Amino acid sequence: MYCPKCGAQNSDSVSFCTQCGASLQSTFQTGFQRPQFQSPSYSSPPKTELPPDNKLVKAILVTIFCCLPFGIISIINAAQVNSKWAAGDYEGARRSAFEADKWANIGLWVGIAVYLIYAILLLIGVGLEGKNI
Amino acid sequence: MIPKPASSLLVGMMVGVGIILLYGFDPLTSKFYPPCIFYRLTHWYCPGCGTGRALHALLHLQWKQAFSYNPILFPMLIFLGWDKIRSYYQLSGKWYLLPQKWQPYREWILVGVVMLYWIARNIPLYPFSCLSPK
Repeated sequence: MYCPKCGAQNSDSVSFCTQCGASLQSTFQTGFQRPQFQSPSYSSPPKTELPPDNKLVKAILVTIFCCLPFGIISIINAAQVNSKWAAGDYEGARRSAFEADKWANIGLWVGIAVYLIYAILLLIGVGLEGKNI
Repeated sequence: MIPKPASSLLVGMMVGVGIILLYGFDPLTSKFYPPCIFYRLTHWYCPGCGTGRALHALLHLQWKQAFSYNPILFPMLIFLGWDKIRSYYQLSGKWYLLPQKWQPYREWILVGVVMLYWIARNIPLYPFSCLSPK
């Protein structure tokens, strides 16, 4: 069998890994139950727990007013939060929510920088020659 | 990274300046608003085209005018506003706008609707031409 910790191949008769010393027997026998009971944060949450905030409103506002490309990355991530949560991928949902917020913030600051540069250019007199939309 | 209160203050100031500018100057006649980059490059309307004029009209309480500049603005505000209220008061499990089994995919539905809107408002024929900003 292979050691679950380091991946080294061991004879079936040994109870400890010959490479790293990890116990081979206990994981073999209780491996199914242990992650469920010992680390509840990674297992399914109670039914009352809500999916993480997907920051969709922020993503859309950033897309419209600040920075289209980063805003779209944020929207794609925000849209995955609830569908991943519904599919039982709680860790993936949290990660998508984190990514959505991160890209929204990047877009926000890029947008603010662009607006400030634009305002400075206007103030020093670089006109748009009337091409308004 | 910039600390949270400072960044909130800066964003708040930008939003405030934006509202004052949008209230005071009509995007239709003013020349200093940044143009829509997508429109400048392709001469097609993006889903957000007309939002500046619509917000100007909205700040002057001209509802019909605002609607004609960007018709998706109002359904969008209702959809997103309701979603925010629902999550703020933790009304999970009830008061859905969509059938419950669609609920996990509501953002994807939203993205799909916006994509269709994007295509539709560029079709220069009668029922679709109502969607373009004018």
